[in-house]
Amino acid sequence: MSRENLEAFRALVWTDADRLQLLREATERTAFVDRLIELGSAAGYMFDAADIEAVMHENHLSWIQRWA
Amino acid sequence: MNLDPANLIEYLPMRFTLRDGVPEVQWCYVGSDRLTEPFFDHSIEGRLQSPFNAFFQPRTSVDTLAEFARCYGMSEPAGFVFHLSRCGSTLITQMLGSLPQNVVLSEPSPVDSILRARLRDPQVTENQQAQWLRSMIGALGHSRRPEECRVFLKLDCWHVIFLPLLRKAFPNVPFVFLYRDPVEIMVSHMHRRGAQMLPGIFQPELYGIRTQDAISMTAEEYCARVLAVICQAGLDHQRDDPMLLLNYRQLPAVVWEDLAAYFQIENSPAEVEQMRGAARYDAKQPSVEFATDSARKRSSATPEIIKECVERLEPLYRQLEAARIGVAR
Repeated sequence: MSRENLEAFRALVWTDADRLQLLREATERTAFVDRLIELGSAAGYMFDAADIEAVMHENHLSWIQRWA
Repeated sequence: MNLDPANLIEYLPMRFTLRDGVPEVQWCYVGSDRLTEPFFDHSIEGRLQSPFNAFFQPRTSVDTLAEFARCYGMSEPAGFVFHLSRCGSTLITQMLGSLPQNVVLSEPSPVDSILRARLRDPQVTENQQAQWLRSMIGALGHSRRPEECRVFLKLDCWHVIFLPLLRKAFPNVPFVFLYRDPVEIMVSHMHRRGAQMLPGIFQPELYGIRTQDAISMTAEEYCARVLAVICQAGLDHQRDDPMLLLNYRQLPAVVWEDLAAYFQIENSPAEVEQMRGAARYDAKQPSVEFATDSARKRSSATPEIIKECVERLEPLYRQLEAARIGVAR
């Protein structure tokens, strides 16, 4: 369920320039994850660091497989 | 995800995929940064190091891409650079990119994904590919800084095979084809082969070579056959739709002379000086000064390289040279 919450929050954030800016400012990975969890929680979307790391991992795989 | 293209103004398309036949585009946040790395994918890779980009890679439909290109893309690229690999094409892009008004796209992988889409999905039509190419190149070249007003695209070497499709998509864009003495190219690939020369990584069928045949060939033979296919595709296209042919030996001055004229660019003396300055450095390692290596490459050619070049590549090279200097054979 927390993965669905994360996806829903990611979709919501797209239209919110302020929250996007706050997240872009977190240039260190742990700080980014903490801030994302904090912003999600404040908006009622519960997810954890493992969910975020899983998305990052999938994105990374997708990128390195671009020539396949 | 259906995003308003206005939300993507600081993003660039970084990936094109077909998911069950449905095209999808992934985007990467770049802000207003100029992409100065020798290759587009290196630029993206650098930005993917930020946790924001590692996490947020919006995916949109190809319709959103088209809408984005329509709203924000440049109307028409100023020129395309095709090449035979290891022949100075990156030097050309680094020289063009040294001028702030030029946006230079160097071998962006989303363009390759579209060009090779029919190999993955035979249902894809040429008309679709042409439309996707226009959208993708338009979006990749969108002006993110006020001074940017021209877009150049350097393609991967195997994209010469797709010249007719690219011409269909861009009927009026000037094309140039850069090549080099094949012995020097072969020596470079035998030192460190490009991915396009590795049949286990890059499908040999693209070059009309069966995988089972490819794996029984020597590295020299496979490399020479691939280069021959690319040369032949360039020559075939040249007959009906002449491109500006450039030999590596003409670099760097040909960039501010013949190439600029062909692309209809007028450069001020200061801009020529700027490009001359960029040519002083190794295009792929800009912190290192450039030193010509033709003589060293030729002297290190093995008998196998010489044999393959004589058999498969020298005749094509001579035809390219004849076409370049305007002698019909």
